Amino acid sequence: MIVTLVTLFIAGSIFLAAFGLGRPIVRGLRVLEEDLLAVTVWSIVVGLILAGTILALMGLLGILHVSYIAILTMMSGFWGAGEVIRDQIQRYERSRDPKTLTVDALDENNESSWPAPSRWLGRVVLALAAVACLGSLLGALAPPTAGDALCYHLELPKQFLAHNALFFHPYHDNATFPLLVEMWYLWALALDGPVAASVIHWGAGILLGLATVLLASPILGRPWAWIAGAVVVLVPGVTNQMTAPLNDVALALLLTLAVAAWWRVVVDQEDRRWLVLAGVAAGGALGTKYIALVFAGAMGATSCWMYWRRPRRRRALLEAAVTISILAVAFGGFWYVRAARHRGNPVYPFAGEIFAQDAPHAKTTLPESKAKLGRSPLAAIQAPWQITMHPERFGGRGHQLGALWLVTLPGLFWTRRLRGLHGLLAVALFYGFFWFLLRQNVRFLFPILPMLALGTVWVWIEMRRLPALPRVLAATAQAGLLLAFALAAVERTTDRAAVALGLESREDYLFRAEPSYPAASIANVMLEPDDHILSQDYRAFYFNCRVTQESVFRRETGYDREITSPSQLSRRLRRAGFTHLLLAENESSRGIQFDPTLSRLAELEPASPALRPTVTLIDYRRGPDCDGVRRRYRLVMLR
Amino acid sequence: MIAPLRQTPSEPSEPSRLREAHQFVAQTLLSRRRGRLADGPRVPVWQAWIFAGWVVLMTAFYFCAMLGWL
Repeated sequence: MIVTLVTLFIAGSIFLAAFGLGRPIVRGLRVLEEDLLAVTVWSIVVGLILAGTILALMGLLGILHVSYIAILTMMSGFWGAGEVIRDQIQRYERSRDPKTLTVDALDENNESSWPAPSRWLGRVVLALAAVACLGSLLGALAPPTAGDALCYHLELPKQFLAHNALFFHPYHDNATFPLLVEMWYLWALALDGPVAASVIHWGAGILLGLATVLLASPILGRPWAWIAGAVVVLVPGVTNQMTAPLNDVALALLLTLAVAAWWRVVVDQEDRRWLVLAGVAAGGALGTKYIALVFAGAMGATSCWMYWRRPRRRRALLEAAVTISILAVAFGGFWYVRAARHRGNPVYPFAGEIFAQDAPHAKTTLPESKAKLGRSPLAAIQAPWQITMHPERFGGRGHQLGALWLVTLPGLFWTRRLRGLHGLLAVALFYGFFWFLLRQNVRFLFPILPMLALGTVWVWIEMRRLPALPRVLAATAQAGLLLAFALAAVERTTDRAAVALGLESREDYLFRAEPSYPAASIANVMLEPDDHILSQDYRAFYFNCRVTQESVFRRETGYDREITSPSQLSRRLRRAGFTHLLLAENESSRGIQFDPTLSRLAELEPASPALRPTVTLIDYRRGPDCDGVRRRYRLVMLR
Repeated sequence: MIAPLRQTPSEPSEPSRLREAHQFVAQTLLSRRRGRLADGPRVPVWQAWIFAGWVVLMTAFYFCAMLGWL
């Protein structure tokens, strides 16, 4: 339990330090001092973006030392604590001034033209969201076992820390991705470990809910905006991602804040300084994931539509586009320059048609394998049904969006127009169209969830105009969905409750839940720090020594074509610097299949056992896991 | 000794029935903070039932799909 409390303290300190970094910037802009929620959310997020950028710069300078990170965290943390105390004093003074509208007044005041939600409705929805968030916190407090997290979200920061530098790993496809969020994980790894990184992403999920409240407040009024925020954190895919150090929820957070600030200027005609915040958040999003570029396309398309339909807003739209673009490139462009420098392609490994056409790793932008629905107009019509009912075809049930959107949003056909909502829904629609064309994976739809939540809550508000019986029927069905989402978030993490609460050690949990961990634990005991493993599995995080993915190494070198006899395998791989092999096989037909090339080569039997190219250190099977996958792992030493 | 002033309720400045009428009108028009949007027309019954049917049906399909029955 102490270990868990230490992790929570470290994660809290990171958020406090981020607040300390971001608060002076937010205060300097003087656009949202009255709203405590907005001040808190924006300060933390701006601070996180700034901290990630500072850590990346430290990496470029080769000074990514744990001691430096700890000192900077302490300084920022104490500054953040001072900022909190200062804000509390100012808030107290303001509360004594009847002329000032305080945060409490904002929360209580329903400026909109429709009644606030009844007290019980607000409490029930927020309670369900709290249950879902607590359930996902239990999941986040267990050591991470998500494949992508162990492949690169945590593995790359671990290697950067080990080398004290943001170095280029030529045999890692993700090494030149935008890695801002991974810098946050590096921060957590430096001060605590992978569980703290998970808690950081869980915190990003909470911030996403609060960002939705900020987006919805000027449109629906603050009381209903809380319900919109709760709806977003009840989405099954969001609560699932909040348990693991990935980056889709963080991306959704950054894009939501960027849109919220953009909306303030181009629709609500507020102070232009909001555009600075929008640009910083957009830069953070660009530095998080390539998919932010697609979202930028959707924003651009919506801006063009508004430019044509709203002549009086043209100046604001142009100013917004220019300011946000410049700041976004300033804060997020670094990662694209880095990719271009090392790979010759700023969006490596995508857009292979344009950049590095001859490279073996170049991926096409529109592969058929990433469009399970196809790209026909009929498929577009079917898409909402298919991704709701069969999310396993589009990235997995774990990332699903739930049925609330398919169920509720058709209600917009009979609701009245709400000022500002259609612009946001247009962004969501354009983004959905690009998603349909490019990558049909449900988790890439997370950025539009807050906008869809606004539409959903508007339908709920308008449901007051329905006759009683259909209204009760529809409300009961939707309440059932929300209840199921909250319970699913808790149920999903029941096997992690023991380790989260300190009743099971983290090592015991990993032996039980992470298939690569037994091999990693043996390797960490038996191997030297400078040993180098060539691995068929991409889960490398728990290995202390260096691990290279065999599929990437084979693609880049074609080593397998040079081996014609068993004895050549060891010689060839030793010459490349490898000392051990991690052979992984999926013995079931489900789940990710490992390429069998290396296993086949290692199993070639020479005439004499003494001439075998490898010595097996551990050989075990794991599974079947929750997906029905059974795996075999072998850690072998090259002779 | 100066006798304390005796507080007596002041006479209403207007007849009570007129005051009640004022209150009735005010309560009718201003009882809730509703604007134009809140006073919108009722949704036609057929639209309401189509929506409710859609919600119930899709919810049922979703639970069936998640339980592997679809």
